[in-house]
Amino acid sequence: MIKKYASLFLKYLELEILRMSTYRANLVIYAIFSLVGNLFGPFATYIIYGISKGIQGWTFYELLLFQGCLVFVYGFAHFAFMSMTWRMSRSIEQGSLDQILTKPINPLALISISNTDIDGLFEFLLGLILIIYSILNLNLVFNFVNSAYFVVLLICGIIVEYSFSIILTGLAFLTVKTRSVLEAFWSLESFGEYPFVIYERVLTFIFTFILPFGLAANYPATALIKGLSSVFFLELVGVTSAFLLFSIGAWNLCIRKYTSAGG
Amino acid sequence: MRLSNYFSFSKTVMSMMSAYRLEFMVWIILSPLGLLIKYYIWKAVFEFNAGGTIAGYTFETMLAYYAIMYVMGSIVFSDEDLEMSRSVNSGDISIAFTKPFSIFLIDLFNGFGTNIFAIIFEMVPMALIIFFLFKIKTAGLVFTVLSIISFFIAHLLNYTLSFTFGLSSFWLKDYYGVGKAKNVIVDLMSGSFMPLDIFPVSLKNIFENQPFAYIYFYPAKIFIGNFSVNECFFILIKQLAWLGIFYLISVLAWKKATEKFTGEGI
Repeated sequence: MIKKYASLFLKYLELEILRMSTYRANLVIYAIFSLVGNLFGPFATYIIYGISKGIQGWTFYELLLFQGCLVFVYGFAHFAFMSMTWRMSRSIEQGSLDQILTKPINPLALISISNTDIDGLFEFLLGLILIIYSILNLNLVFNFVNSAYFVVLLICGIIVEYSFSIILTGLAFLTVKTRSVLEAFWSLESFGEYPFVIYERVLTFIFTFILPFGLAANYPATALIKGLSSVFFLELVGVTSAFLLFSIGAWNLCIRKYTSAGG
Repeated sequence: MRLSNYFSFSKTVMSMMSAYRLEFMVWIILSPLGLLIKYYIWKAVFEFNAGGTIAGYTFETMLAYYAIMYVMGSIVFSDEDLEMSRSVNSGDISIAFTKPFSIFLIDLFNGFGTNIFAIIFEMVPMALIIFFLFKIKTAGLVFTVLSIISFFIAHLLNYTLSFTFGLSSFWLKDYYGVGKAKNVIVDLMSGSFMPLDIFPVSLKNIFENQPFAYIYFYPAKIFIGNFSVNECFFILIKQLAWLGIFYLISVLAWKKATEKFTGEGI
C-alpha cells in the first residue's frame, strides 16, 4: 500500500520535473526570484532592527529563526502538496477532475501525491538554511524536550497547511472558481507571519485554536527559544489532529456534493 | 485615429468587468486585512521603542504611508504584462496587428476600463473603510491632490513597465518566471513593501534614486506631507521624465519584439 503510493509519488515528481524542463528559462528565473521574495521577511526584520529595538520579547536572531520556520513550513507545503488548491480549481473548470475520480485509488490520496511543485523545494531549503544560520547565532541551551517540541511542532505546522489545502481544494468542488477564496485565505494566513505578541488576546486565541496559523512559525520558534509547557504542547498537537480530521470530514462532504462541470 | 476614439475600448472593458463585481467586493473586505497586519507590527515596534519617531516617521505617518498605497492601488494597478503574454502565446496579437490602432494605446485604454471600474467599486468604498477604521490624518488638501496626480502618473509608469515586461513573451515561451521577477522587483524597489528611506544609508541612497521609487514611494511620501509644495512639483517633473525614458525603452522593445514575431503564436 505505502509502496504503491510512494512509487506513484515519485512518478508524479518525475513528470513535474519533465514539465519544468520544457520551460527552463522561466524555471530558473522563477526559482531565483521566488527565493528573493522569501527573503523579504528576513530583510524587513533586518531593517526594523536596524532603526529600532524591534518588538518586545524577540531579538533579531530569534525573529530570524521565526522566519526560517515560516519559510521552511510554507516551502515544504508548496513543494509537496499546496499546488493542489489552484490546480484543482483549473481541472474542475475543464472537467478533467472526472478522470481522477474514476481511477482505482482514493481520490484524496491521489490528489495529495500528484501535486508536487519543484519551486517549493528551493524555498524549503532556504528555510532550513535560515533556521540553521539563526540557531548558530543564538546562544540556545539545547535540551531534549525543547528540541523534540520544536521538531514536532514544525511537523504540526506542515499538517495544518495540508489540512488547509484539503479544505480549499474541497471548496473548489462547490464553487468551481476558487480564486477569491484562495486570496482570502492567503490574506488571513499572513497573520501567522509575525510573532503573536503583537496581537490582542482574541486574535492570538483565534490563530491558535480556530485557524491555527501559529503552528507554522510562532509556536515552533517559541518552543525552541523559550520553551512551552507540556500541557500547552499537547493542546497544540490536539488542535492539529482535530484540524486534520475536520478537513478530511469537510473533504468527504464536498466530494459528495460534486456535480461535474466542464465543457 | 483620434485619441478620443480609444475611449470606446475602456467602455467595453468596464461593462465586461461588471461580471466580476463579487470578486471586487471580496477584495474590499480583504485588502484592509493586509493593512491591519502592518498596523499591528508597526504599533508593536513604536510601542516597544517608547513612542516618538523612528527614522523620521511617527506611528501616524507610517500608517498613513501604507494606507494611501492600499487605497491608490486601484489607480496604479496594471496587469498589462499578463494580458500581453496571453495574447502573444495564443497568437491573438496577430489580429491586433491587422488593425489601424496602436497596440500600446489600445491596451492602455483597455486598462483604463479596469481602473475606472476599480476606482468606483473598490477604491471609494475602501478609502471610506480605511480612513474611518484607522483614523488616517491627511497632511492637507494640497498634498492630497498632488499625491493623487502623482499616483496617476505612477499608473502610466507601471503600465509602460508592465507592457515592456510583457514583451518578454515574444522570446520566452512562458511568462510566469519573468512575471515573478517583475513582481518581486517592483514590490521591493517601489516602496510598496517598506518605505525606502528607512533602509540603511548605503541602500537608501540607491533605492531613492531609481525609477521604481516613483511608482509608490514618492506619491505616498507626498501624501504624508514630507515635501514642500515646490519639492512636490520637482518630484512630478522627475516622474514624468522617467515616464519618457520608460516609454522610449518600450518603443525599442516593441520594435525588437515585432521583428521576432512570426504570427503563429509562441
